[in-house]
Amino acid sequence: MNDNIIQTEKLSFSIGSKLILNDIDFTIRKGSITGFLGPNGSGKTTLLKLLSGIIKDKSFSIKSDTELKQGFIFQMVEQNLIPWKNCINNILIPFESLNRNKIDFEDVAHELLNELGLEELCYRFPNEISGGQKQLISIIRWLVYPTDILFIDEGWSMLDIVQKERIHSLIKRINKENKTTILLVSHSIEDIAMICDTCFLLSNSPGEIIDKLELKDGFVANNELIWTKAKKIFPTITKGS
Amino acid sequence: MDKSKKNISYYNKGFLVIILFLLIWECVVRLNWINDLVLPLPSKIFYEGGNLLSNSKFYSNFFSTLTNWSVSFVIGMFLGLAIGFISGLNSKFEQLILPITAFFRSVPPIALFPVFLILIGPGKLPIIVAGILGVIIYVFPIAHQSAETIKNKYQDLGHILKLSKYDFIKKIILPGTLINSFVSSRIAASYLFAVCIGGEIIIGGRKGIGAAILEYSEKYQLEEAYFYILIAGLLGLTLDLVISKFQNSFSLKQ
Repeated sequence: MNDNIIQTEKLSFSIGSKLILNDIDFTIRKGSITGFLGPNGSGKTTLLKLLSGIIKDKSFSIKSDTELKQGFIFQMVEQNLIPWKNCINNILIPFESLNRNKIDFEDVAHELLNELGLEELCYRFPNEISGGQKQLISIIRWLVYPTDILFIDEGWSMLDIVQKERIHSLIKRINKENKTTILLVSHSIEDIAMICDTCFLLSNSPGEIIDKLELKDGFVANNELIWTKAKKIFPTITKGS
Repeated sequence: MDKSKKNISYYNKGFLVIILFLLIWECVVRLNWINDLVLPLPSKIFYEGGNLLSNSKFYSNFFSTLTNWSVSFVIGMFLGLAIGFISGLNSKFEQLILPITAFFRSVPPIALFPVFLILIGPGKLPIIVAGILGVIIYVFPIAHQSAETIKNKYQDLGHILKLSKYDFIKKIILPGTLINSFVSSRIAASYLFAVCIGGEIIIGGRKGIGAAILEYSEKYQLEEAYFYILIAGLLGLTLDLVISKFQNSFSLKQ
């Protein structure tokens, strides 16, 4: 695999007779932050679930390291957190599930929450915190528990700009500190332009990759580039809409 | 405000209504608007109640009902949870069990007392069996739906956390189902209390609050009968308060 962590060849996927994804070929570099931008129904979530093995299908080939440690941030915030565990225990779930001593990492989780000004959430239950806070807690989990690859299925489109900025910086931090490869699907151009270094544009149903953009020139230039190219997949949009 | 404190303050206000009701009742009977042979004076009921309280028979009746309720509740909860939990996880078992539970949901346990009486005979056992059935009928669908919903909702997270099937059931589905079912157990507990009292009256057992109500009514000792009715209400209220407190401590985790 060399520097690549995932490589797909002719990935197509159908549910019943409906073709969801068609001939998807791409390579993901280790340590990169890759975004998949596409309209609703382009198969973004399905793609992440296929790549992470949540949906199993042997009809195509995905080459990846067999023992990758994976993390996943689901689109539905409720799916990320267990309601009967408080925030600190939710963050430490991966250690518990692997029967590893979570006490060693509890201090790390506390430090991180403190640093982010979220210490007061430690012993609250998911039911007692806002959607944005739930999202932050589920992201912090994967900062405390380092993974090789983190799949992010958008999920913060409803958050305010302050929360979004915190999430963006946390994701960059996971990528930098833990050397975690990040795969993000979104229909938000700003999210992709802000944190990704590569962006694949997916067409409407069935999802096909129609362009690959290298994003290296900072948010403004990235944003401009994606807006120009995004007209292929969102023909009716105008900037600022 | 803490939910349990809120509940108690709600009850406090409700108690005032009860006291007012008793005062009106006392006045209506004293003014002879209703004959005290039909409706005894509350003051007389409490006086006779005081005498009953000094008799060990009262405690024997009280604890007999409480025992019937507790045994039925514990066994009913356990069975309802177990059956609901397994059927929520296993579609073949679900197919087998759903028609039977739907059938029993349509038949109130009180209607089965005569059958249990013939099958099991008189005494506590038919009451406990009917009570267990009553609790299962309430708890089963909640446990079933909880197990099914939690399984579907968290199976992707279970995959990501690389949980084995056993660990997924033990660490995710089981605690979630238990919490949801306990939170919803209050209605089952109240319903069970009615089944226990009703059972003691219908089956005509020797012990229990229901049996005492029947006994004193047949002897036309209405003050004692009414006192036992009040005790039944107070016991039901206390059990409801205890369970609501228990319920509130879990509801945050739902």
